[in-house]
Amino acid sequence: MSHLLEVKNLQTQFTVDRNVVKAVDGVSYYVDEGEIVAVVGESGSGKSVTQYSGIQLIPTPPGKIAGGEVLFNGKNLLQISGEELRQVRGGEIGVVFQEPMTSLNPVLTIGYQIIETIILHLKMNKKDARKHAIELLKSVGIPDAEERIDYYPHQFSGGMRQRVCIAMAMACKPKILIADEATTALDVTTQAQILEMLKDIVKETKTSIVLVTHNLGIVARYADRIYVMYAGEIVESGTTKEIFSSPKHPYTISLLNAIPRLDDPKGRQLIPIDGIPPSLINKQDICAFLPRCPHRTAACSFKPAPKLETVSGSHYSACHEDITTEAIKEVAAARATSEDSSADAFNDNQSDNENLLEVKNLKMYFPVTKGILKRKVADVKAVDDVSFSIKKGETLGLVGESGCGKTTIIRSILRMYEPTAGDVIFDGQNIAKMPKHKLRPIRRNISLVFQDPFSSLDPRQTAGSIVGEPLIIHKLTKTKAEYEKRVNELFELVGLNPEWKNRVPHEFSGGQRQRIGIARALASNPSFIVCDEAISALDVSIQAQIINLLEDLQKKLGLTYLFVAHDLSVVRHISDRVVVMYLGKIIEVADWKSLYENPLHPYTKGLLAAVPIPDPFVEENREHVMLEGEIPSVMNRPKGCAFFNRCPMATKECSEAEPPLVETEEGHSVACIKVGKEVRV
Amino acid sequence: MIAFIIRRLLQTVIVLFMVTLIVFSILQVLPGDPARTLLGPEASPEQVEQIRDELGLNRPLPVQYITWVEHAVQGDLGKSIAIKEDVTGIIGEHLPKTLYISILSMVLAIVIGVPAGIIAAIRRGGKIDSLISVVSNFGMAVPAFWLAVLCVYFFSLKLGWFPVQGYTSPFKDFWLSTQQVIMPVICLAFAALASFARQTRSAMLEVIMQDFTRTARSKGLKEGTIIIKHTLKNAIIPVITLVGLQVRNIVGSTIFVEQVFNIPGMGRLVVQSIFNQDFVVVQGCVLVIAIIVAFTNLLIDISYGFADPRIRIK
Repeated sequence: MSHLLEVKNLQTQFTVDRNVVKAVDGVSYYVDEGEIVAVVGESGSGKSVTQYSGIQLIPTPPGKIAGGEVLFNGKNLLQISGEELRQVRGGEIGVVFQEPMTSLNPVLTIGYQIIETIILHLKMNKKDARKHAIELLKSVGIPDAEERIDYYPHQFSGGMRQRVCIAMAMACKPKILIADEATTALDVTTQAQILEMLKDIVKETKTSIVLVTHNLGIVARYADRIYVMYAGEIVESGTTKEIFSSPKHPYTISLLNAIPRLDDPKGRQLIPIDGIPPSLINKQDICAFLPRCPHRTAACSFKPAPKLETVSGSHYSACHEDITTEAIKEVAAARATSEDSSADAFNDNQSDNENLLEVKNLKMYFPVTKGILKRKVADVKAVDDVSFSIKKGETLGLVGESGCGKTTIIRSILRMYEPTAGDVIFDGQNIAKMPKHKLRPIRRNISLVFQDPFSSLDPRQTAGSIVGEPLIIHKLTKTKAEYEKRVNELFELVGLNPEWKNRVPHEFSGGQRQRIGIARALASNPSFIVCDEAISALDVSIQAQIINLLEDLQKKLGLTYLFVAHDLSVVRHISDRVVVMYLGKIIEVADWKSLYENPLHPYTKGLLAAVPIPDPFVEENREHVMLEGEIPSVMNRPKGCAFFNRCPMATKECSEAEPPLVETEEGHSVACIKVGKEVRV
Repeated sequence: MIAFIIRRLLQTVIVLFMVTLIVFSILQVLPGDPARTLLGPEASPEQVEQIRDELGLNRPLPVQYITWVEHAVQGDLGKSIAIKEDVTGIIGEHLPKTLYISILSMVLAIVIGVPAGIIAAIRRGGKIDSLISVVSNFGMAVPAFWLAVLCVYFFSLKLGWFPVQGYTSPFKDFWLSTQQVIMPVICLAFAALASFARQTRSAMLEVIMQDFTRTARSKGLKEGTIIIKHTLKNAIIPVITLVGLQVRNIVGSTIFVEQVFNIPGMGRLVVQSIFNQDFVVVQGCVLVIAIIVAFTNLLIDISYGFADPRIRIK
């Protein structure tokens, strides 16, 4: 049987500083008509390069396709002429890229960019092409397509831009659509909308989709078949159910153990994958996962790299060992206990603790200016009358989609912004209006861990001086020896070798850099740490390491966390209580259990429904309630309940008054008139 | 966009006000008494005092300044001390010559520099790229007056291709005018051309690396289309900024180049007037040049709006 796309033994290499990096090393896979195939892997696993090699979108030099075949409809794409290849690109294989904000040309209208493709491949005249483009935009859910076709990319939100990109990729009815992390940069509700749309496209047009992603939840919900990639090779392949129900390759098994799930039992210990992905420079012929593998045997180090072998039917795995379910459980159990942070240790005991931080009626408005003289015409209410508190030793999760005011809250609490109104009481002192010089000594008690471990460390400072800087600023060490001792201590605390003190950030991996960031935050011995999306830039196998580290540190040092994130599974895993925000307001607060098991606000419900669970069997029986529309701009906040226009329960009275945050049960508050009533009756 | 233009216009007015202030005060602190210069060393102190009165030099400085600005706005820049003519008339005679060679140089620099940068970017690392890099480095390093002297030596004196110096209006004798103008224009344009080539090259390379160029490629567009329609439109934005800077450079260089080629333009006028201590003329010239530079920069800021929809449509 011939496949729509069949890749055989593909080899793609990059030459970097005279070293050969085997980014794709002998990859073979196929795609049939009308199926959704997922290619799963971490950054650097070669999953994107594999896809781009076929249509030759990799930059050459430094890239080079060193061998293999890419058969599309029987033609080898690696051997056809440039002219023929261009017809395949965009005409028969469309691509949707990761970054919707930068993937469209900012100086051309979206209409121009779509029409250009249509004219090129479908040979239509301008007028028909325009009509076709409008239809496409309508089909991907762009409202007022007739008018908005002449808009520029910056006039659209991220989700809308990604829809435009999909319209563009689908313009010429391609046979294959490659979605390269196409929803990674989007909010969870938008992500669900886009993926559902892609699924519908498959149904209607018989287009096949190659879903390139690191998100196992998405894969479980949408893919028919899966290829798992590691270090430029496919290590396991099979149908989605085969892979999730009986994963065979240690990497796949470890990956599933490392990610938090929305339906986890609380207190489940995440089992991180030790170490870091291997460098692909001068790769040896040996199992690439070997150094990180919990199931490795002595024999593995002497054998050449394992080849894919049939497990059963369509299920293949590349491992020397036949790992049984028992073995998996044993290893997992052994590791979980050895790291010793059992579920019961999970803190239920600080409910009677006093508040460390109390935020009362916090408001942060930004002026909107207009006209020649930049007159102030209105306020953007980024944070509008928000109150919450954090108890000592507790982790408070703060969730919400981009633009809901999460970051603004942090910045106002830390006085990076001067709050418009309200109180921030930290350890009994109101720091909201405190003069800067008085605030300074208090600052050492509050630290921040940033999102991006790459840009939040000064590239020219050594790791040691990054970590030690707070000690100098707050004059916490008296002698040089004391300083060195404390820095070493901090390195060890976060699991870094103190001998690496003199290295600069680029010599570390992403996960190690985040450890440096955490060590820096710990230096002044703070009681309160704000984690601003602290793990979202890390690879899945590394995320678990950092989550565990944060949890261990909390236990050891009695820290209090404000954990800001958009990943609801991670927040569920780490938080004691959770605050949900929408458009600058808190709409629901509860302890993690009631929030996740009994969400009251329709927005919270929608958010949770949008998070895919990495288990195809659970996903099958799950109802997919989709939140319609997008989060509106804070500039034109809807009257009454801000969620009114997207809410499935909304009635007229919702648009009349803003619902107050009312406590419906002990410790569970919600801002929705519908829900409040229901519960009270 | 309109609010943006108006705001920018107001800024230009403020800039011009500052320019008049600076021009006025610089001449106050310069050594030499214009009245003495006018009368020569033989004149008696009484005569000097009388002329000072006539010229208004004895009035308080703010009054002098306001009077000067009032007249300037009406197009009266005063009377030259040395040649005893209206400054406005003198400038009117010299300015077109300078404008003619400056505009030609700017056009030449853009027309050659920008495409050279594009070619260098497309052929990055190739022989053409290296050649363009070497030439543009040379262009940026060599001062215009030295280049002018070299040109005269080789092309006029040794080879006899072009006249050594002089200026003829293109309306009078187009052929002669062109022959005379070629060397000064090239000398003026060279540095600007080099900057344009470098800036265009680096801007193009940056845009080629952008995600949307990859998107364009993934649609199956031809390389040529990608370069012209997608890349260039983005890369041109920093090049526009450079036009503003180069206007200033070219105008500044005219001072030397006009001197070498003996072109009776603004540059020479300024130099001569400084030597003659003819402060009224210098004042007028600096003001006119400042106005030209300020307005070209205004035009450039406005043209951003046309090149970049993110500025035009908020």
